[in-house]
Amino acid sequence: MRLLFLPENHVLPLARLLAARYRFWGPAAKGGAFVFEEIADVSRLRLDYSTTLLPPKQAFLPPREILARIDIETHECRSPARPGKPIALFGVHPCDLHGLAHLDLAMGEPPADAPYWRARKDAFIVGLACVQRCMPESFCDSVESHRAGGPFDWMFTPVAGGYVVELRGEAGEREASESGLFEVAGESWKKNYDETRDRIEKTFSGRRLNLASLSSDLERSFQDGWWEKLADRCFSCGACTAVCPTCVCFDVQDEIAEGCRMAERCRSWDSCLIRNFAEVAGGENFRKLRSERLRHRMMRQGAYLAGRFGLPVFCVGCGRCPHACLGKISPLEAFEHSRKFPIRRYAQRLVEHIKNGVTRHE
Amino acid sequence: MKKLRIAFYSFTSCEGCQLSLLECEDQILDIVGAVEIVRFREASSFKGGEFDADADVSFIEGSISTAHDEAALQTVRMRSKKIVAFGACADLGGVNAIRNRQDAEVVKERVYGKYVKWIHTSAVRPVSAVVHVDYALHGCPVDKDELARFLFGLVAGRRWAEPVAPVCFECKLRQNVCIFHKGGTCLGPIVRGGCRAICPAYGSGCDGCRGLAPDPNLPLMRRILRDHGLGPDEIGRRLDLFNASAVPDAMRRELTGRA
Ligand code: SF4
Ligand code: SF4
Ligand code: SF4
Ligand code: SF4
Ligand code: SF4
Repeated sequence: MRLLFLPENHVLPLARLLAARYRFWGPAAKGGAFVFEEIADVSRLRLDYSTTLLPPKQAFLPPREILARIDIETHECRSPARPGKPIALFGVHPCDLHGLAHLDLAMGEPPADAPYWRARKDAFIVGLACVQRCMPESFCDSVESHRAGGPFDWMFTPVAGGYVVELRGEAGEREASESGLFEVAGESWKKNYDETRDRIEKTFSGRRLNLASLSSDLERSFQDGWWEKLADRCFSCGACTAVCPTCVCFDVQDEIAEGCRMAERCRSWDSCLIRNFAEVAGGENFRKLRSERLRHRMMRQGAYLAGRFGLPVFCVGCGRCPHACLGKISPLEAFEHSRKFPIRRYAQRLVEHIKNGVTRHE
Repeated sequence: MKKLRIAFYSFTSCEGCQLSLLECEDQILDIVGAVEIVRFREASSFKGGEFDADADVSFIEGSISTAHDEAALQTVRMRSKKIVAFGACADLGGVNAIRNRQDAEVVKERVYGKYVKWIHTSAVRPVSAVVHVDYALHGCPVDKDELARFLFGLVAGRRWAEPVAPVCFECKLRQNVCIFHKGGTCLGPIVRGGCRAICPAYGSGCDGCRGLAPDPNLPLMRRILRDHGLGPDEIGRRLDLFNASAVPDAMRRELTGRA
């Protein structure tokens, strides 16, 4: 691990250098909160941000994008070119770095998602350690994503007078040496760095989760009547998935444009909480009930995708969904509850179902 | 190819939804290139009869509040292949329906004063209460981009996809700070989206101009509104702005907590 030091007053010059070479994204203030967005004037950068309304995922997977434009007369089809320069994400908190790692897994599964990787491939990612909890609802520490991880090229950790920066990979080394703005991290910085890291561990020592058994706990609680009770607090509004750094589901619709001369194939974020998400031809709906949709989402975050990619959990505890949810539903609550579903009741349910000739829903 | 003949008719309304078509500024040439507009009083110098055109698709703006409206609408239905309830008044009854919850004579008196004996009105109804409706474009006013998409889709023969997600979903995509987090109140969680959460984006809570979303969680909305200081009467009034007659009584009770 190579560490360098970046004095506080070199941050903006560094951001300016990156902004010249990359499409520069960072946290900025908006309407009393913060958003991750493309920033032209780097002085708008707010590294003191708490968390952002939407995660930085939108840099690579925009809420709405046109995948192809088809001329209805000539049938000529074109994918709109992404702007030439690669993206730099500056100041990504640990949970969102982990979120990007999860996203990379989901979008990398063959066949890899071409538009995502076109934007993601050459991106330069700068992480920023959290020294305090961003909001009461976050539980990054419960799922162990409060530490640096995921796909960063630089990781900034705030220390007195600036940042200790961990460099990773060729791009990280190259950009650092070309900038000429970093200093060698001396002994006192290293000490300061270790102290900060210790402090982070102390600050983030919240409820630890049943990570080792989470997915089996959740799957076992599938039949639990508790999901229906939980759904009394759900609107099926989809706000939770919209703000989630690890949600990838999208819908593809063809739209007619320009006086019916062009057809546009658009993809936009979708949500498994929305009523018609699992509706198929003929009007059949695999998850008609609100409780089924809510349960599906929690299973997705704690069991399905985690299992598929060999991870303990697919939620990074960023706290955005419990913050956004007006029913105050948190995955933490669901994950913790799943452990409580007693084996005895599970066995009872199973017997009932076998008796009734119904096989258990996997 | 024969162009699709479309007509715009207006009943009890402010005519703001028709205006949305004119506001399609950068798309308007594409639109008139794709369809033939056969009736559109708000933007034409045509002097002929008003309800006597044959159309493929008629856009009905406004709610139905007189016997004359009703007869005219029936004529339009007979001469149109498809009918679109165009905007909140036509779709829900809208603002006009507020008076359905008050004494009709008192309301008339208040509005028309000494001319009241000349005025013959009925209860305010959405278009679907009088004739069969094929499509609805929601909103007060309708969203002009949705309108353009709808029109192009019609011409191309595509199936129209009704927006299903409540307002909150688009509100998040737009990165608004939730009105509840700013100390206000909002009906967005139970209201049909498609408006790109324009009201929260400009700082005011949703009033439900697009009608209720499918399968809304009304008891939860009631609890949350109550926790933010709205009692049954206030919730009722909030609902009445656009949905005074659009929500079945049982659902209204669930939301307000009162009959
Ligand atoms: S869990 Fe909360 S945010 Fe998600 S759909 Fe339900 S009410 Fe909306
Ligand atoms: S499920 Fe909620 S807390 Fe977990 S990563 Fe997604 S938005 Fe964050
Ligand atoms: S959830 Fe944790 S890692 Fe993410 S921003 Fe908040 S404090 Fe930082
Ligand atoms: S402001 Fe209204 S529409 Fe937006 S998230 Fe909050 S409740 Fe939903
Ligand atoms: S936010 Fe609500 S009131 Fe405003 S336009 Fe949308 S549906 Fe209508």
